[in-house]
Amino acid sequence: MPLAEARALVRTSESLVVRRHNPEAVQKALETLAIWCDQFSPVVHVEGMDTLLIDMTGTQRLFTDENALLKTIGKQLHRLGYTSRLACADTCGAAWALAHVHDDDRAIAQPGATAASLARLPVWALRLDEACVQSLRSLGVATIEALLHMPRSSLALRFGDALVLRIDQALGDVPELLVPFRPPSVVGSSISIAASTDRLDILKEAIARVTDTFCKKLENRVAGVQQIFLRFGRPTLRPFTIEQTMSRPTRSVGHLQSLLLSTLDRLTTIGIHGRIDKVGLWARHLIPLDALQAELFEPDVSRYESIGQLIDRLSNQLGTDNVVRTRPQSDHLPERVYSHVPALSFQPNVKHKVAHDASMEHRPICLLARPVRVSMISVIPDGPPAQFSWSGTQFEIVRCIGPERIETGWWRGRHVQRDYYRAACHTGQHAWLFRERMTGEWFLHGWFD
Amino acid sequence: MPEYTNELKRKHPAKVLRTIREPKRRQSSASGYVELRCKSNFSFLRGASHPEELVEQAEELGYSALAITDRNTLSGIVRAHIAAKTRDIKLIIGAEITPQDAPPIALYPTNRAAYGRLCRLLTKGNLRAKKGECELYFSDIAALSDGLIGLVLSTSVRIDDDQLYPYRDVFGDRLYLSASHLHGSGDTQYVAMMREQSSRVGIPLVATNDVHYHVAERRFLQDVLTCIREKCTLAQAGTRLFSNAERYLKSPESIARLFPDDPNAIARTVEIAHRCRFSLDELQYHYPEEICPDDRTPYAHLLHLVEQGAKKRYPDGTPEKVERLIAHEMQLIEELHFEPYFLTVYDLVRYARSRGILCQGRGSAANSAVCYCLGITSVDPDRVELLFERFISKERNEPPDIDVDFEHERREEVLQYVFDKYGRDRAGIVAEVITYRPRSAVRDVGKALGLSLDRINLISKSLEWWAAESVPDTHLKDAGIDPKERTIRALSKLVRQLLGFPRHLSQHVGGFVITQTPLCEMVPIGNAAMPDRTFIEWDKDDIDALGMLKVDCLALGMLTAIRKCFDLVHAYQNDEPKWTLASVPAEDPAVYDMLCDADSIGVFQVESRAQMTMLPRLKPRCYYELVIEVAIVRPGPIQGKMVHPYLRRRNNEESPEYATPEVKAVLERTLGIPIFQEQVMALAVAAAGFTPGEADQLRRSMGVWRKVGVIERFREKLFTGMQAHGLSQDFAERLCDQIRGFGEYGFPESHAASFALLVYVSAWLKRYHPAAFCAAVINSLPMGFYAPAQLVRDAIQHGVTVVPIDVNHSRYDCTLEGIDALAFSQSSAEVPPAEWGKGGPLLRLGMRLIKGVSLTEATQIEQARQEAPFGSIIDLHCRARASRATLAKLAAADAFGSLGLNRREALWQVLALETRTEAPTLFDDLMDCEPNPQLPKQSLTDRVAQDYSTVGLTLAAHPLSLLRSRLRKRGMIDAKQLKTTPAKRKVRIAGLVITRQRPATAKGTLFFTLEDEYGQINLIVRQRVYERFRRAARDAVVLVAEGMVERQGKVIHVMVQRLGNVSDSIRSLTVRSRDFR
Repeated sequence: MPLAEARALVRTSESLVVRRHNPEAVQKALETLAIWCDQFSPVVHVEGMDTLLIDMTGTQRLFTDENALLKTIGKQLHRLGYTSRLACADTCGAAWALAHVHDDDRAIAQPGATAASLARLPVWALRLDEACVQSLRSLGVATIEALLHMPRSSLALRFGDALVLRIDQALGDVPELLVPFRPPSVVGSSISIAASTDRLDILKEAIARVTDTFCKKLENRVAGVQQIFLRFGRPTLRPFTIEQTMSRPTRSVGHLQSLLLSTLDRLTTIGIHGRIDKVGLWARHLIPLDALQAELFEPDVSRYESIGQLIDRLSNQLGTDNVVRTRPQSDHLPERVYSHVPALSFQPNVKHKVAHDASMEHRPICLLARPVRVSMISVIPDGPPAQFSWSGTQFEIVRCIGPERIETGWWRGRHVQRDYYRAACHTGQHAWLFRERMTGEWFLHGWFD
Repeated sequence: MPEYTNELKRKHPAKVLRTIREPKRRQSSASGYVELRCKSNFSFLRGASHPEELVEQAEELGYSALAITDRNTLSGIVRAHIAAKTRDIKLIIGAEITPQDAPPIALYPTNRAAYGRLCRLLTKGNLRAKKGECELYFSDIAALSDGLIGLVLSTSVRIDDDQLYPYRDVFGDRLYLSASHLHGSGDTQYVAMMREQSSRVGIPLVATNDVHYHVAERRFLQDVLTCIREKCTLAQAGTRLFSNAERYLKSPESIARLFPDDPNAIARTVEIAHRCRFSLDELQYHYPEEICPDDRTPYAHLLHLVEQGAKKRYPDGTPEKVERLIAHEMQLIEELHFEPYFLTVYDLVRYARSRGILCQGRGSAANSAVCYCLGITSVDPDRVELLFERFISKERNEPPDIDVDFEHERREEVLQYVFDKYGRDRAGIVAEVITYRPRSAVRDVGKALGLSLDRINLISKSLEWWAAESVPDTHLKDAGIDPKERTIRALSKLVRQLLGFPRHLSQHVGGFVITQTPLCEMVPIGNAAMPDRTFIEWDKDDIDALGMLKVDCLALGMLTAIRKCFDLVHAYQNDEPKWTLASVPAEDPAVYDMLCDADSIGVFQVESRAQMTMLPRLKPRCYYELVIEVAIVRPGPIQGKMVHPYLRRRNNEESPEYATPEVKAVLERTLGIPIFQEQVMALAVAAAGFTPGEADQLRRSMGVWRKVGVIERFREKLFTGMQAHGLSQDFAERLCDQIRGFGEYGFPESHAASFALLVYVSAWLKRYHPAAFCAAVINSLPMGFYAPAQLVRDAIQHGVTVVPIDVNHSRYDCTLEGIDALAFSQSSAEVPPAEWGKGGPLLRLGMRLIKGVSLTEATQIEQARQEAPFGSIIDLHCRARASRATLAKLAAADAFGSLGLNRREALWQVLALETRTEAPTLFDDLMDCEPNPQLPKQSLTDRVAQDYSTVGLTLAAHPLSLLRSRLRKRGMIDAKQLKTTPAKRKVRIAGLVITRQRPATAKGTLFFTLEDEYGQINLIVRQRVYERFRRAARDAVVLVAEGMVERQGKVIHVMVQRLGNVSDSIRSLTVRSRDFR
């Protein structure tokens, strides 16, 4: 259903929550579940976008029967916030079919009764492709039972081996290989604390050690990190994770340690609830970092690195939004030609696209943060400026060039209309002055020297 | 944003009533400055003023001349030219070009030859680049620079001396260098620098102001246009916007103040203006010469052709009335020198006829005795009273307007003929200027202002208000928009300014211009989006204004259907000469009987729901009443509330009255009620004191009026004039509404007359040859209102035997069978409708109905079948080389009946085929040994569903009949019972949804047409009801309606109170219902 149609179905647009489908996130969530399912069986296979196949061979005895097994899995998934449809059968194909089509969300095919349990299900439950399902429907073959009555050889001739394979898989006539899901590797290290603790000194020691091993791993991979996650495992509560971002890629043990420890100090003032029995440090993305450079300059860090480390420390102490740097910005209004961005988010290697603007050649070196009102004397009313005073000093204007007219920002609700002049003063200084065209008031906005 | 006046929809200046505006006296007789650099909004998404606005403003400011220099185009200059002509201001024609390898330059032709070169240059650049772009190099300019003045353009970007020398070498003393003082940063230094450079390289300096809008207030719109062009919001645009609002048309005095040190730079603008002596008036239009043999004058040739034609049309001697008409018309044609025009159209028609392509002219001059004799129209002047003068006035010396409709599938042949005959350098398709409409304007301005798509959609729902002069706040509030909000206020102002702005050029549907001299020296030619298509930069109003010859070659589906029907009929009536539009027996009462019964599915024009309810009320009994029938169900008469008065008079419920004899002369043929556009014009003359010229301009402006417009300006005149002639205020009011309605969709008598003939001919064919007619219409799809299912059902209800698609019998098209043994006589008037097709040919459905089967595949099957019928699927597979996929589609469509296979059995066999092309081998016999499985039998419901999804119709049973018992249990009646249900009775009824219509004239009311196994059911759904049952109304395939029966004579409606959806019962039916707006 197109979104527009969905919108038309609800009366007010507010009651409809629209989220873009994110297949990657879905896949990721399913994979996370696959890892979680480790507790039931070592063989968990991720099938498509919505199914996990778990090989329970030999593990049923851990549960009283299939019913209890499904009940346990269902309950636990529910606790995680998932609705589930579960089925248990002799074959993967049959379990898949029952899970997807069965009226109940728990279905069990008794051992040996696979074919019977599938009989009334539609043919698509055999994991067939759409074209095949369509053709079968056109032939009037709607149920698996009807399909099973057709001669296999005739079916193979018409629909290829895929259909026959799916039938055989469902009935257990051919085995189906399940590939256990393995998570992709991340770089990380962790340390367990034998007796859970909330003592700061122990935690600090743990962080120091974990950082040390973590950085060794980075060194082996000739890589650095720009973002790390520190995770505190708690025996009774959900683990607690903090994220640390750096302005530049690094693998300096000292730097990371000092950042993490100061973060820990900050945390303890807020307070981590519960005792901690595990400390882990890991990173998702590694950034190649030249080995030689790191070794050579480690003891006496390069200027580049030291600024980066300074930014990191300051941001850590003062908050990321409070450590900023300027960035050029395309705008006609002089006070908007730059903006402040958090220094941590600044990417030194990314060129900021600002069109070369010839008008910049005629802009002052020193721009006042905001224009200052000055009292101006003109020889003739509305004529060129003649004299103004600023911070107690009188400035006689010897000569002036202009006006440069700037009229902009009307869409922001403030229609700026200014006439700028470059005024040579008797002091030898050059001032950048403007007249607000609506009011006729004069402002000083900068100095050319 | 400062306040400024609301903008109205812009008309072509040629259409503006000039008499209303007194030309203004110029403030100063000769000013010392001419603006040489002006972009109009034909520099798409750059200029923010119409060309006319620039000219008007220039006049206000006392300019003696003005140049329009759009970017790579001359498409706006005709408008500017006309505006300048009425204002006594000299227009300098120019264009701005940015060569790939040289600085940008504006070029101004000094004379006609140079103008030709400029057009040639732009054409060259256009044809080299993709649509809307122009790719030129210095060498191109150099080659065509004779007689052109060049002005090298610069704004703040420095040009190297080295780049100027080549220009200087080519242009010599015709080259200038421009400088603009726009209050940018460092402009003073920049102008000084330019001055220095000018004297250094020896190119004189010229002051310009790089005008982008006529008044400073338009800079807001200009900023928005920049954002639209750059696909960004205002907040993101930054320095892509101009830094101030200085690019407006300034007074010569202010320019003088800006260049205090360069009086010569200002004086030179006047010098350039003097050197440019070319005016568009010099574009002498020459009719093509090859339309007439060398030894005859066009008049003699035309007269000869007309006389010959008359002999053919009237073998028993031309009636005296027609003789008189011809003499009169020929005199008029000679006076106005229209011979070449008629000869050109005649040539097209002659060509079409020689190729067996059916065609028919319509339009102002088409319904004349001359055109009848020339074969351009088939409306016999002896049969109707159509006055030539009614369509051609002596006063305006402009070409008459004839549109020629051709069979839609074969129009391309005619177009190619034109290109071949006159050559691509002399014939071109005219442009259509695509302008901003409310929806597109709101979308683009909204995006530039940074509104979210959701909000823009919300606002779009209240579109009609945006076009209106003022937006009622309450309406906006209801729609959830705060009218006080700054952005919304800005949006509303900007949208109103942007309405009517040209957005881009596109090719006109069929307007051709043909010239004697090379076209590309008349007007630049550009690429269309369609490959190998080119069109000129001027639209039909421009062409009209310059008096150039234009012929409209349009495509009409019904002509295709009629021609195909003639062919089919001819196949079983060999002995008779083939029918033509003119030879179909005229005024057959049986045909009118049928139409009065609203039995008109498939008939041209009158098959729509609205027409079907009009037919039994208007009861057309003669050709002219068909003309009225065709014209009355249109926005004009409906909005003018002229329909009911006419019907009352038609049914003798009231008698016509005429205020004056003049009014009587105008309205007598329509019983005192103005129906046609021409009558409204004539009424303005007869009853409101308009001059014929004014009335004509009134007509022309009808085409571009929107909800508010020029009408208000001379409403007054119409009112007072009419009152003086004794016509009521109410009548005048309605007439105004009617004029507005014509603005939405003008429909003149001259077109209705031609259409009515096609109505009659198609109705005649339907009445006497229902099988052939049904086949022909299906074979001409897409056209008309109905899907094959309705057409076939209608044929069956008229006694036609329809036989299913079969690989051994069907062709690609639907065909007629059993014609050899046919002793077919036309049924007489007494035969009931259900038996019109009895004894006639069988209608064999064609493979074109099967989705996904192509003409090539069907033809392969037809050809292979000629040796011998197919004995098996394998046989078909090998002999016809039909692919497995095609065979599967044929099987799904149940087309193997003659092989004794039902669709499942056939599909089972087809699926076993391997994709191979070699001949069958012994091995294939093995297939027969294969165990044949018992495939489940197909239920009727299943069969119907699959018929619909593969062929779009079924011969098995109507889907509703499958549901009938269930529907009865729920107290629902059928279409047959509805016919006998008295009015004001509450009923529940169900049917397949065939059409949903929401006419613009009906204030949100929807008209649904349902169908069940007995016939059609008409529903009227008020907007309130629709909103309440929106889901069902929108989505239902099978709709249940509950409501009151309403009767008007034979017409029955159900006024719906509740709607329900029972589609789930037959969910798999994929009936294509077609929504019309």
